[in-house]
Amino acid sequence: MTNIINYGISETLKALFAQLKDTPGRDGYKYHAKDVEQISQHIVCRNYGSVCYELSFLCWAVVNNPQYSSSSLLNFFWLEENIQPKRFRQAFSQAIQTTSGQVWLAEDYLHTHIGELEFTISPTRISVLAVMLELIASIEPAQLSKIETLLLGANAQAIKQLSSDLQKLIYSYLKEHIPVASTQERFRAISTWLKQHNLTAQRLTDQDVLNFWLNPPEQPSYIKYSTVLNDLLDATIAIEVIENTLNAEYALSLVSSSDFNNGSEQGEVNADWVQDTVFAQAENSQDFSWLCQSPKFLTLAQYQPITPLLSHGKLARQLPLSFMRLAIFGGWQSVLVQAKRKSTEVLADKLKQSPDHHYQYYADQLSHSQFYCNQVQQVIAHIFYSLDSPLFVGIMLKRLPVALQQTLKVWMQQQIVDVSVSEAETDHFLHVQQWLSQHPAAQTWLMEAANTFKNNNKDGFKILPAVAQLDIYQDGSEALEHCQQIVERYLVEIEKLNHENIELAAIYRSDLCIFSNRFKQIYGVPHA
Amino acid sequence: MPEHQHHLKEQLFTAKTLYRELHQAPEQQAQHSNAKAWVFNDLVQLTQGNPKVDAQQLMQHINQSLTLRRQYMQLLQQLAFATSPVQAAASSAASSAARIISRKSAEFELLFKPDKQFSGQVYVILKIPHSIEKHHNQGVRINCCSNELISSIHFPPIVDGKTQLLMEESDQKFINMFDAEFAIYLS
Repeated sequence: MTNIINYGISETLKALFAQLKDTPGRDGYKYHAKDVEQISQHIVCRNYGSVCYELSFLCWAVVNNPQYSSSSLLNFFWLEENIQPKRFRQAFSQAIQTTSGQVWLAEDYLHTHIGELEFTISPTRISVLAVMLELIASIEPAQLSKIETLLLGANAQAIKQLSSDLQKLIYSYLKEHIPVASTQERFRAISTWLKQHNLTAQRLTDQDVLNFWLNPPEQPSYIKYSTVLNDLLDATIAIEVIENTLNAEYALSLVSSSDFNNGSEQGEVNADWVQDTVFAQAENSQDFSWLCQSPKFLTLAQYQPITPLLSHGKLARQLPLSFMRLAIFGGWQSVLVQAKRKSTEVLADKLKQSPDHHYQYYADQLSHSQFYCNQVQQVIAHIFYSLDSPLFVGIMLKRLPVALQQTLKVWMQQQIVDVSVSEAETDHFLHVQQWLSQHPAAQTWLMEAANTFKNNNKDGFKILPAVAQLDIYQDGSEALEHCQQIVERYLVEIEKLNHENIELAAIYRSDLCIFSNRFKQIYGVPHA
Repeated sequence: MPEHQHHLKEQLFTAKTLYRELHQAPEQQAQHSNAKAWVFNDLVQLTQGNPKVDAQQLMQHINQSLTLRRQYMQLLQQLAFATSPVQAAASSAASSAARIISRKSAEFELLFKPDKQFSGQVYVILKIPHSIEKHHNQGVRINCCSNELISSIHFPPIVDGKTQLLMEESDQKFINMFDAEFAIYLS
């Protein structure tokens, strides 16, 4: 392990999660990328105890459902694909009563009462739980029949047993596929370096990031600029969160054992807190790659330039140049790594060249992504409008001329005052429609939206979706809004860097020299 | 710095970096490895004849892994629309395949006729008198299974109770279909 760090996760596990997103169902992808990503968060945080427990109750309900005479799990999850809330509800429309327990569906939850245990499962959880069972069945397919045998007519003890068995199965699988030593070593190296240089999240500058890459600690070996940037910022934020947040005191009370997920209750609480901090609450870690799946809000090419900014949030704004370097020179380094694999000649040739693009290119790429986000928002507004949902107003409002925006806002405020609480959503929609008919600019905007929809031939936009599917479009609109904000704020920082439109080019020239020299050092100059 | 505080920071760092590595963009992943994984659902979809599964690649994988082959066989036995078992007469110790001329069951009939114009080519005809909807929409998949090998062929959608495929007589998949030592599973 001299010049490339073999990171924690095995290629098998990566490929497995990629396939979970790709595997086909009866209609399109079987699992939504969002649900797969949620399970992966549980996995990387080693916080899968509660999911296994919840899944055990669900499996009991399925296995003891009298409508299945055999292979109940295979039937429920794979053949019938009862993995959306609506189908889940249908599948459990009949209450289940056995000698050891009962299951019934109320308005909001599926209630399970098995022996002394009571548990409720929301129909909206089914898609995430289905991904978890798929992961388990893919790790060990024999589990399905084991679960069926264990739970058929079984009591509460079997639920606890299953939950524990599933946790053990995942734990031992992860032991092979996620060795923790590597990330521990990386964190130790970076935190020591930050301490030596007296750096905190507030004090970290673009120059510090560059310095780290040019003169990294001896161990572990840091070669790739992208790894340096990601690790450095992740570590900085991790340290900041623990030291500065209001949760610090709580956090300190959480861990008494150094055993990472030792299965104890303490370990569970700790893992839960980690997951909540890293993914649920973080402004510094957003992943909207599901925007590129189905419905396909953005293409990968439109989404990818935004990814690093979403991943690092506020630090991306604090370190604008580092992210330009990542896009241009990080990309160039990937080209060099590939060239090195081909031959020394190809590598030598690539080393003589410069990156294909300058810094301005990245700014332009981001602006294009902004443009597409905006266009898709307009298309989503059209979908809402066509399906009589007043939600389109929120999207449209931000995109109308300022004067009209004001008029609409005032009118809407009046509506809120005037309208009785009991008024239905459709009436509200009709009111908005009437108002719009009086304002040609809004009409034009909606016509444009209709045309953009017509020209959007991507998956999920070819025809109007059903009203029941609108949730995902609303989620998409919110995620796009977030992407737009992140990019907009980042571009403001770039603007500041680029005084009179010449600064960026000058910085690029200087960086080209720095990066070229370092790359030559790393990859060698064969014909010096 | 207290040890537990360091440990929590490390956990946050680990979660974030592992998550990023787990969901690396496909291009970046491809640089490291061409490894492709399969999930349990892929096997189920293949047994169901779902045309969206990359059958060729998956079959290759199934034939390389004894565990996967067993799982797939189990699923075929559970889920196949119709089956034709290994033919009892196939006890010959001869090395050549025990060729049969047709397969018949209550649900289907499989036979072949040589192409009159081109020698070496055969029309394989599949008749399903009581076919189900998916046979009309997505066609029929035939799995030929021996102890060592599974080969899989996709037939076009059923029209008027039958479908056919033009094959080379020397094609191993054709040979397997009419080899008495292979069991047949239709999906």
